[in-house]
Amino acid sequence: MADARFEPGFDEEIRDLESVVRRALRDAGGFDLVMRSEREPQVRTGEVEPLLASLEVLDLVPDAGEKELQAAAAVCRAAGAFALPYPVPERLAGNTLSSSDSAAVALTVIDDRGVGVGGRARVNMGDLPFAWRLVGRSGRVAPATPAADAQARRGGLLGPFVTDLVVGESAPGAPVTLPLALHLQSFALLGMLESALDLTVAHARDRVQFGAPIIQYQAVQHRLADALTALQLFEQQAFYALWSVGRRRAGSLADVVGARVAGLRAADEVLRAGHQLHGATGFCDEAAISWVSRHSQPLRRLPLNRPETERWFTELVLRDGFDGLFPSKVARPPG
Amino acid sequence: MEYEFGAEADALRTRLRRLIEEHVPADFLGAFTDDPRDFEVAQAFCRVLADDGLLTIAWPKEYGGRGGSVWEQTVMREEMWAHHEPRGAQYMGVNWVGPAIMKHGTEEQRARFLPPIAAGEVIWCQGFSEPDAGSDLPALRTTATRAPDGSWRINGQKCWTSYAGMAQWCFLLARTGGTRGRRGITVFLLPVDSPGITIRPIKSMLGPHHLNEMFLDNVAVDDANVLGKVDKGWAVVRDVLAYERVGIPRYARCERLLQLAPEAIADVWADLPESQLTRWATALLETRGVRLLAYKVLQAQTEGHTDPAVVAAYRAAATLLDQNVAEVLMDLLGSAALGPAAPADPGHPAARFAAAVEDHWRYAQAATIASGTIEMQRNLIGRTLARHG
Repeated sequence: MADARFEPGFDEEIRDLESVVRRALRDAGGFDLVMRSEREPQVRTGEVEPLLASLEVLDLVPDAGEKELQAAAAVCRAAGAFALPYPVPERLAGNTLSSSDSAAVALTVIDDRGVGVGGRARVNMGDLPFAWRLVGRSGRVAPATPAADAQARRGGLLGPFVTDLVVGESAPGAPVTLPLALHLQSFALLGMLESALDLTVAHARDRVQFGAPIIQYQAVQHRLADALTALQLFEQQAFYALWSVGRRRAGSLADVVGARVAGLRAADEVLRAGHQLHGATGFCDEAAISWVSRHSQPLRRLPLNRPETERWFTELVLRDGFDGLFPSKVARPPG
Repeated sequence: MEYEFGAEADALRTRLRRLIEEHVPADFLGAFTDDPRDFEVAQAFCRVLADDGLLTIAWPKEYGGRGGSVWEQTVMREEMWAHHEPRGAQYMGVNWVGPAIMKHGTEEQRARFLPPIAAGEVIWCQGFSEPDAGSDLPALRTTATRAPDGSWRINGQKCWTSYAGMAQWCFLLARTGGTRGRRGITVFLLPVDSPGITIRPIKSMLGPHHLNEMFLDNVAVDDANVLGKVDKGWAVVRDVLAYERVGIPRYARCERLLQLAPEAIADVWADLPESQLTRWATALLETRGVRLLAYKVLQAQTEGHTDPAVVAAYRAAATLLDQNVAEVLMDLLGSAALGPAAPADPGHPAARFAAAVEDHWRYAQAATIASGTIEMQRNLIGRTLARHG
């Protein structure tokens, strides 16, 4: 059909790449990597990084064409699927920036409102020795270095690798830098949530109470149904925004922030169901869902939590309108 | 990866919007009103579409259709629903009655029934639900029994039958064998003016003509009006459900109304609390999510690998969207949601918008019930996960 161009989801060769990366991560221990990472933080650069390097995925340059962007997103999703203790989205986003630094560049997004030179920003995995760059909501990019007391200020159980960085002098970034960096993180979140639902379904099929696997009970089925629905909606928003970034569409930032809104809503739905249906087992360190839940927190709180992300999205729509079947301009400045 | 439909589908959308602008009044809210002019608008619009070859855009060329792609069909459904279904009751004829007759009908039935549907001249209603057979459709108890002369006699009661008061034909399910279950059900193509049929409107908040009861008292019909095989009507029902594909594109009207809001209520827009603006913007976002999920399902259907859990997830999300958007829009209206304050000019854009929102809210209450309740969708997802993980 001449007009049947519509094709959601990754291209076939990208799906193949994602399968290869997933298999390699599973063979290397899967969730065991994140389970060891807090006790042995060197797992991150000592095992995970060499593994990713051997797969040649750390060299992807996501602003070098749609295929590279898709490939980067696929790798982020695969990494998220095991809550991989390594800043994959940040490393790949960093490849879009030029640097004279000898260290690899890692780029993440911060809320730079009110953060000037010398200010602090919280960054997941910020303790790793990369040339850190921070892109703010403003689109400006600044270098960052560990705060002198960074080790002492490491996060708690819900953000074990969250570290304070000190922000340097910023300069305008390329238009694609902000949406791209933010969206690769959303693909990591997508992978995490897909795994969380898979783990929960598997547990509900195994766990027998009152003589039957609990997945046979309607109350459990409905909870899973709502989680699956939220996840499906996030997945569609994520792929649409990826396409939007790849095409450099004018509204791609709103699309990316919108996808993040869908992602944060799905995270609440999927992980709450995950904990509830795992029962007490879900809190225990032996259960993968516990690790996925804890390690999803930095992605869900940084750079902005759900209410702040919704507000950001609203501001963008009020400023630029919403691109849909009936696009219209909305004339009301925010605030 | 591609999210454009292509030039043909885009051109169709433009053309449909032009036709709607020319032939459908700006305050049209569907054919189900007390104003007979609304019914006439819909009938006339169907003839316009038929003359342009657009009414049966989805039908195969051998039956006078255009063999339109799934994306052209999607554009058609989106534009019609977004603009309050200006085809009125006739959408059912082209969407699933015609295709069911193409597949299961005899040559005589095709020649008899398809041309009037394609010409926009006939209204069909669906005689499925009964007082004790809603979600559990195979529990239907309307019977068709053989009379001594070999013809059939139908007895029973149908309910919730939309369009029955304006239809000429009914696509009716009756039990010809057994007492319950999918076996023993037969499809009859029944003239609504047959002796023994009584139709009584059921007054409801959905507005006039939406819901009706149909009583069948020894209604005579012969074998020429049986669609498919006797006792094997469930095969036809299954196809009918498949023709409906993803059902009504509710997201299209939701998005249109949300997009209209800032201009329609410009007087109060600047004073809305931030929380309402956030609900409005995120509701717009949800329309996109549901729309994209519909497209995913359609794409999978064209490739023949549908996941029933994803289809059900779409249906659940679409109906919840309808209700959430209804609440968001009603809240945006404030007290105007309760009806126009006097003196009101019904032609004013704000009054038109308020009427459309009020209509949407009332209709949205049925979203999670009609065509399969949301509980059924959740059950389906749950069962699929239980089986396949």
